[in-house]
Amino acid sequence: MTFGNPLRLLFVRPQGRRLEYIARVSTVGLLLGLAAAFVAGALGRFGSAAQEIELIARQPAAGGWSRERIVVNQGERVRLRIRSEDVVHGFAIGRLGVEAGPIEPGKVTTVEFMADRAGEFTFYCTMWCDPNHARMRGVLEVRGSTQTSPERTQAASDVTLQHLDDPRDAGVVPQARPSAMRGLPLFEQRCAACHGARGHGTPRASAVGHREVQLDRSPADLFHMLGKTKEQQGSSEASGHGREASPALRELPAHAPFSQDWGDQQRWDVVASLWSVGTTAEQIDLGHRLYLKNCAACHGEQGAGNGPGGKYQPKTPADFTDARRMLAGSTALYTAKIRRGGMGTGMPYWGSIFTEEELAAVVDYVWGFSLGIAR
Amino acid sequence: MTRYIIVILFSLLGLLVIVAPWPGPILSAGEREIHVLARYYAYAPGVLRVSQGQRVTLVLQAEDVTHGLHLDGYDVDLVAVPGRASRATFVADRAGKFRLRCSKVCGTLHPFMLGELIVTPNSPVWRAIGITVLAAVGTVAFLWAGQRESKEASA
Amino acid sequence: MSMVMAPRPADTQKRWELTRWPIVRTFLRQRALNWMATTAALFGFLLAIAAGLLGTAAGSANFGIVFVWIVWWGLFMGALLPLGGRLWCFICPIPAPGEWLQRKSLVGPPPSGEPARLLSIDSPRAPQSRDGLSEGWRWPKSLRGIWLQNVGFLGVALFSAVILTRPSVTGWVLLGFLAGGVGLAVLFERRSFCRYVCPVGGFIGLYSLVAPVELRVRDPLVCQDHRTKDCYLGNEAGYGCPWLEQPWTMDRNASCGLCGECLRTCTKDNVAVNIRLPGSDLLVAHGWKLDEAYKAFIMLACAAIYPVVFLGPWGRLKAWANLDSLSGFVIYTLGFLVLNLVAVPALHLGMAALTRWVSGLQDIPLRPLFVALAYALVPQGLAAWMAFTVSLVFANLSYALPVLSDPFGWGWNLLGTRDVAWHPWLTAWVQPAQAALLIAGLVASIVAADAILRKFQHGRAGVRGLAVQTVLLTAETALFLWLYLGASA
Repeated sequence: MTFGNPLRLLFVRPQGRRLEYIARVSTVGLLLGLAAAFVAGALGRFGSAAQEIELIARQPAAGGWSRERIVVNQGERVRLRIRSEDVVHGFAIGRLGVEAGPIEPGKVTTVEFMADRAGEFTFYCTMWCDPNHARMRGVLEVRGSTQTSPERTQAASDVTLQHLDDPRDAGVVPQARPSAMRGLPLFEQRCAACHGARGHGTPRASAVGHREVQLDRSPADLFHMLGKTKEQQGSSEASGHGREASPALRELPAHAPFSQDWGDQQRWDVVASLWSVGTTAEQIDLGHRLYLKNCAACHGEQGAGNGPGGKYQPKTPADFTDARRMLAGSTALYTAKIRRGGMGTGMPYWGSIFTEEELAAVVDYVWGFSLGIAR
Repeated sequence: MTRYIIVILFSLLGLLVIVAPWPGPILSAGEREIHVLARYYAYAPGVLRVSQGQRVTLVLQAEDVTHGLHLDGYDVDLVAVPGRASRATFVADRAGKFRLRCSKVCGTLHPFMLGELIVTPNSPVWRAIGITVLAAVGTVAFLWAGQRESKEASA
Repeated sequence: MSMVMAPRPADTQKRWELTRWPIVRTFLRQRALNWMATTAALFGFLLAIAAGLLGTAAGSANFGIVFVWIVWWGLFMGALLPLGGRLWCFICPIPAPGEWLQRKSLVGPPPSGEPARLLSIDSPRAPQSRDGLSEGWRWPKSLRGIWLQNVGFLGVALFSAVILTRPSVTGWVLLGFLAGGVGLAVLFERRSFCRYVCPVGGFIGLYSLVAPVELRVRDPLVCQDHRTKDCYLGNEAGYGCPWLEQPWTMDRNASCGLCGECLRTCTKDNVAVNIRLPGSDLLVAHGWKLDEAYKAFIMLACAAIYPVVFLGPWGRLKAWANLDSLSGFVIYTLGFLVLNLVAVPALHLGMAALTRWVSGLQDIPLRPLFVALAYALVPQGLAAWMAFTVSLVFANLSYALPVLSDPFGWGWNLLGTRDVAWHPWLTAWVQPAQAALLIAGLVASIVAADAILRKFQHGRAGVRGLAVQTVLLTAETALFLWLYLGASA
């Protein structure tokens, strides 16, 4: 084997072999061209238009988002180039109303938005992609002059917070799903005189919508209240059932005279109508969309707690159609649970992602599985 | 001479097998709703059986990641994210074996995520096997005739 | 080196010589032809490696996966191999850099004036490679034949679930091939890698036996008196046969890489490229070897395993093949190897024994009959592989369009086709095409079996042996038809 000077192969024109010379030059040119094109492309990948940030999505088992933190300045126009390396992902930034998806493997999705509010926002995956999908989150930090902490919302009452994870049992269940459609006429008949046509209240009696005074009262409480006799005033005994319904029942006034001729199912229907007047169709629709995107994978499309993601969680997801449990909880309780998350049960913490309006919408939609609140 | 007769005869028989009407009842009425779970490179059930003529509703549910379902031969394209089922209805008017293909990249083996829809009676496969047998017998007959002819010629 | 001029067997093979026209001869003799073809292929090959190693992990958006396992495989198995035999070997970029090093030139040949031959065939010493960058060792005798290639193919096939779907794995495998090609070229003489090691070479050689293209000497008698054997040793017009074939005795396609060197070096202008009716290569008795027979069995077994594992509805099989769990893969490997190396050969051994008994050929030992009858499987095996390819390629060819615009999956859009959605093409034509291919393959295999049996029968009468083989071949074809057109469960 003789080597000689390798450069001679290229630069010294082989005697009388013009074809060989052309071949050598063009082969080297071709290879250099390939390398140059690749380098140019690789550079182009990183140094494109101002403030273009590349974000790669992978299943959490393979690393999740390529960046856990994205920092931009307030007032900037941000351009995210998101692509997936394995399966279909989704992308959204909580409280900023930014959404993109599906992020398909091998394709680049570009998201553009104005970072006009300072603070910390959570970006997260919105399409179930992995047993740990709910952990696929990162932080978008918008640096600005006014550093505000994320909107904090209040829990309705301290009592509620302490008992967030207590077991719940309504004790009574309606025979059929309560229906606001059936309950509203009854309400108009019997209750509107004091409580106002839409339950908005009059000087004689308070407003009754579930978001007004009933925030920390459960449907079961109100069901018992409707049957509470004057003798039970001041007690938390549930009439006819001999069981303590809940401490909240203690404060509620007796309503037995007004509901004497109503059967149990009718009372439930009226309770459903109380929930119904506290929300709107648009709210429920928003809640539905949010539920499908964020909750259905574990809790199931029909709310039965049987979604495909549930089997990977430490605890089986809650069954929203289980009236016995659901009707014993209050709006404040469920709002707080969603906001706080599940403390190791697998239920994610949504407090940094949902706005108050979104939280309310989701809770109202979830009520629909146990209470027929649609009008 | 014999060889050409064999060719013509078997060709005609083959043609017959291709175009002959299928014996027995074909079209059924009725509706079917089939729930298909998509999980990790396979569908469950992986083989769907319907009768020709039935109105079929496919409900696709994804179990682990977003999957799609494309049905060859029919205009069906579904996408399901885990937690959100999707459905499509079609009439199974063509007989045969049609592949279900995943249409959303769901991982490394995505191009091989396949299922089958069998619309019975599966006349195409039986016709094909009929032609196969005819071709085999015809070829042997042709070669045997050729042997005999060359033997006669040399005798 | 054989000094005996084997007379060409009485040949009723119909041939049409392509090189009868001077313009064709001149064209095929251009040295630049080889360089252009392999360099273009090398460019694509290097791009595939780069995409595999550096591009997106999503296979459907990666040039390395789409253009190797879908586009190239489709062209190769669909057209190049059935129509051109070893024509791919002419284009193949894997040995190219090694060969350039061996020859110290890209186009060649050596500059005029240098001694054209180092020795003639009268010399007792074996020919050495010329003044190139290679040790020029001879390939060890014990490793000759295609057994190594059988093992290589089985290895690639066994791991194909992982190779075909992960760009990085494809990248490393291709890079390994390239390195192997260069490494072996620097150590061993000529195209030893291609002839004895390349896993593709194993089956491309076997299936080229039924290709309609061949390269042969026109008149063996002319070669009989030719002492210098430039076709094997080389001269100022070109190099000696890189495939270590002896053109003057070459009567089958299996090891001819269609490179055209002998066309250039033959001083008697005695080399021709012919179009022919395929089949006669299958009947060359001295070519009937056990390693090629096993290759036929392996290809047949894999042609059945692939549609079951990859195109079937069984997720568990795919998980096993995908190395999801070690125990699953071990089970898969055992089943795979048993089918390939034991079950299918045993089936054919049994049927060969039955054939022998039924047709009264008991005086012939079983082994040569068994080996020879394996060659009847070639047309059917090729048809089965083409049927599988039709299904795989047309369903996924639409990925090629976005990948051309965005080979690395980084969001480029070179040709504007990046956002073309996936859609399976021509699905209504797939099953009819598969049936047509399989039936055509069956007929050809039956004809081949008949011709092979008649070689053993020496004029003894009877189609009973053929009937047995026909039953076997028909059952195999029916199985393939069922895999593609029938219900899996």
